[in-house]
Amino acid sequence: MGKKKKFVPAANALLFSGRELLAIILPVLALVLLALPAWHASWEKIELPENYRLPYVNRDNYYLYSRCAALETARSRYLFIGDSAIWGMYAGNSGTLPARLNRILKEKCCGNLAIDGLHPVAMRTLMQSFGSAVRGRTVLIYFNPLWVNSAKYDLSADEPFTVNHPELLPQFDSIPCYQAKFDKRIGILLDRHIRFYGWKKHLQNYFYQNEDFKSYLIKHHLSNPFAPVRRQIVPEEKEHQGTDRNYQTRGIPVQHWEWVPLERSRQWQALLDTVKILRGRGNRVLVMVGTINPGLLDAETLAGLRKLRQQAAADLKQKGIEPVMLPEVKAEFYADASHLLESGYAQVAEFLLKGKIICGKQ
Amino acid sequence: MLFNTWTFLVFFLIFAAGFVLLRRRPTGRLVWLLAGSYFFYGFMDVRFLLPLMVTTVTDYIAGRGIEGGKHPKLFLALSLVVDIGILCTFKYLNFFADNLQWLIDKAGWEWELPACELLLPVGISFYTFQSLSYTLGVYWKKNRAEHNLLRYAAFVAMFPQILAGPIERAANMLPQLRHTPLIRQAEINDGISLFIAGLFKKAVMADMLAVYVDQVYGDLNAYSSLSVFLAAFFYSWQIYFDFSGYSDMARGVARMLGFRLMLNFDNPYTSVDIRDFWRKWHISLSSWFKDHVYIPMGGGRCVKYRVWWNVMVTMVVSGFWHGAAWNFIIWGALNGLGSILSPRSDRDSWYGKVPRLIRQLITFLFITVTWVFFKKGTVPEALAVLQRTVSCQPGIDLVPVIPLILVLVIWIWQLIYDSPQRRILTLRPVRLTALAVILVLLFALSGGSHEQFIYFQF
Repeated sequence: MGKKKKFVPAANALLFSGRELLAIILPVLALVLLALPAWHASWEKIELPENYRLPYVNRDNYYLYSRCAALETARSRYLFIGDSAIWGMYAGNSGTLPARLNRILKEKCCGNLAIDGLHPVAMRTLMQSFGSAVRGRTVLIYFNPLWVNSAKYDLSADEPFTVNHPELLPQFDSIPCYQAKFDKRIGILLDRHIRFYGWKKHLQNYFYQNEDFKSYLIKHHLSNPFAPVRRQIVPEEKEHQGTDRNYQTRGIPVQHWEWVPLERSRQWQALLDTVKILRGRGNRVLVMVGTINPGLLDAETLAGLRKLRQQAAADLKQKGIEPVMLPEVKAEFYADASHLLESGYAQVAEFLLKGKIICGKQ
Repeated sequence: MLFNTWTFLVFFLIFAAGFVLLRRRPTGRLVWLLAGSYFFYGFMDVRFLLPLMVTTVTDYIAGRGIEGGKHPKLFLALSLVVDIGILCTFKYLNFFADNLQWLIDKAGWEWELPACELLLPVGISFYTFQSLSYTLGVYWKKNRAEHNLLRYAAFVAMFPQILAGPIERAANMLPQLRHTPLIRQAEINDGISLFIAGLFKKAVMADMLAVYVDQVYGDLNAYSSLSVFLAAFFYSWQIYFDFSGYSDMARGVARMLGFRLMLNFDNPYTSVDIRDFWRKWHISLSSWFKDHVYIPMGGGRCVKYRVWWNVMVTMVVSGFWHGAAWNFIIWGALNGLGSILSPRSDRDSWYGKVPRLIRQLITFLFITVTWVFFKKGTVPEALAVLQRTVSCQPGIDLVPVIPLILVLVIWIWQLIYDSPQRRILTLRPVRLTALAVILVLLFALSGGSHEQFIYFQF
């Protein structure tokens, strides 16, 4: 029979006793997972621009969002939460709805906490995990009917679909169209709940152009790897400067949509959950029931939209939530199906002021 | 399922809990181990399980037949035909078909061989060799036949090592599977230590060097000779970190479950000659070839030319084991030539008097050249890399300082470990500092895109 060979545990002198492992692992975990992000949060100075909105390039940087949300909450009485229809896809920084309201009221009272592509299911997680600083304010949530224009956007369809903000989806709640691997889902949950990972992602996103640190060390081979990190940061949107080109210049065809009934809608349920979360933090919450460009919808879809909006308002009222039925803005004030031009935002601002939904200090 | 994933962590925690609970129930423990191993292996593609099961059942029957039957040779032949047949079908069929087609075309015959797209089961070369070593071992009376199919199946499929080894021997593993594994604090500590070291090698070092190697090799003509040389240098380390990292993790996981897997890498880049390198690199495979190919052919106990022939055949077959392509065969042949031609490092030989560090550097340089053939898909591509390295071409100079420093520090660590000064590394402050640095680097640099383990393709 074969002779027994001597067992060699390792060839590197790196075998440790339990005490040694604990003596190193625990302090390193404390340092890396707790102390470093905490120290950096106090060291890093974020200066919000007057008309702050989360820059487009940082739209997945939820760590930055949470810190900016805290600063914006501290200086604004009204906070707008929603998708790009509120964020201002076709508006400059001073042309978004909150910026316009501030300008009219001649005070900084409205804050823009919207993110491009933020559908209600993502919004719920965003507020749950990254919006804890939003407290004691009037929060206006924008309900964009676009998210219930089909089973696909409502996230209730079966076929795989590249969802916006996958990192804000519930990872183990059966969303059939979201088919990430188990490993990715766990990674996302860790990113969401362990501050270190969110912070690390923030550094990568804000200072290293989303590059993996390993790749950065290789590609920027002679530079100091810490050099890109700055203490003072001003998260200012620079890409989107605003435009006058309305939807007609874009050649978008007329649409026919099959609206998802609200009682079966995943997105609508998530929106109601978001209201609950925000109310739980002492906020007064209003839901702005949004509109769609009437020039882009066929008659049947438009009629369906009107019915849907009425249903939404009724459902909100029934649940004790204040609905704000935004007026139907004329088609020429739209850049596409759901995004207003700056001139469109001016009309909505006027409506909110006239209806005393937003009030100045006087 | 990869070791460096959260999926594995969840799997392992559940598996380990069940394994510990079933410690006193030998059959239940074997069932759990087998079920866990099949789940682990089938997680990638459930179809992979079929060839694994066929190999297992065949070799189990063959083992029993060899030991107790009247026709041991017949049963050995059954094992060899089925095992090598499965391996050849999945891994080498296309290689043979392509080469046959080339010959047909050269002969001017108008005959098109049918194309055959087969999914290569991950780790097939590893578990086939492990299972084959069992039947050969029974035939050569190195180990007894296993009478419990469950235990034998667990031996072949054991999840820590099924994907990329170490290729264990029945004489080492089956006795461990017969007894209640000893899971004490020391086993868990050793297992965690090994796993951390392996994870660092893979998730930090190998994946970082892969970025450089892929970038430079991806656009060879854009880079300077220095960069191309560095790419070859880094590839040597990438493949070492990748494979030995996997082995360390596999051994760590097995250790936490109370099993002892053999050492697979013994700081191979501290080798003083090519023969020494093959005693330290992928030990489980090189010893497999030594035991099952080299020695049965006569080994070193023949006339000089016959020994050379034995070495060459063994190394070429070893190269072919790695992949069904000519570059692997050439890689094997180069290593064979190196083994034959490199002077002996005995104390009384002239080469043995050359300073040890110089011999280590020469060996590393030779191995680095052979890795170029291993990495590049074709011989002309490999030659182009070597030509660019030595021809002082201008181009982009990319010298990543921090990765280079990390590699050199690890190399120096290994050289010290291999020297009489090893005790310096066993000093507690040195070891604990190393652990702290490893952990910090793991947090800082791991994550992002998971590179597949290089050796999974074999």
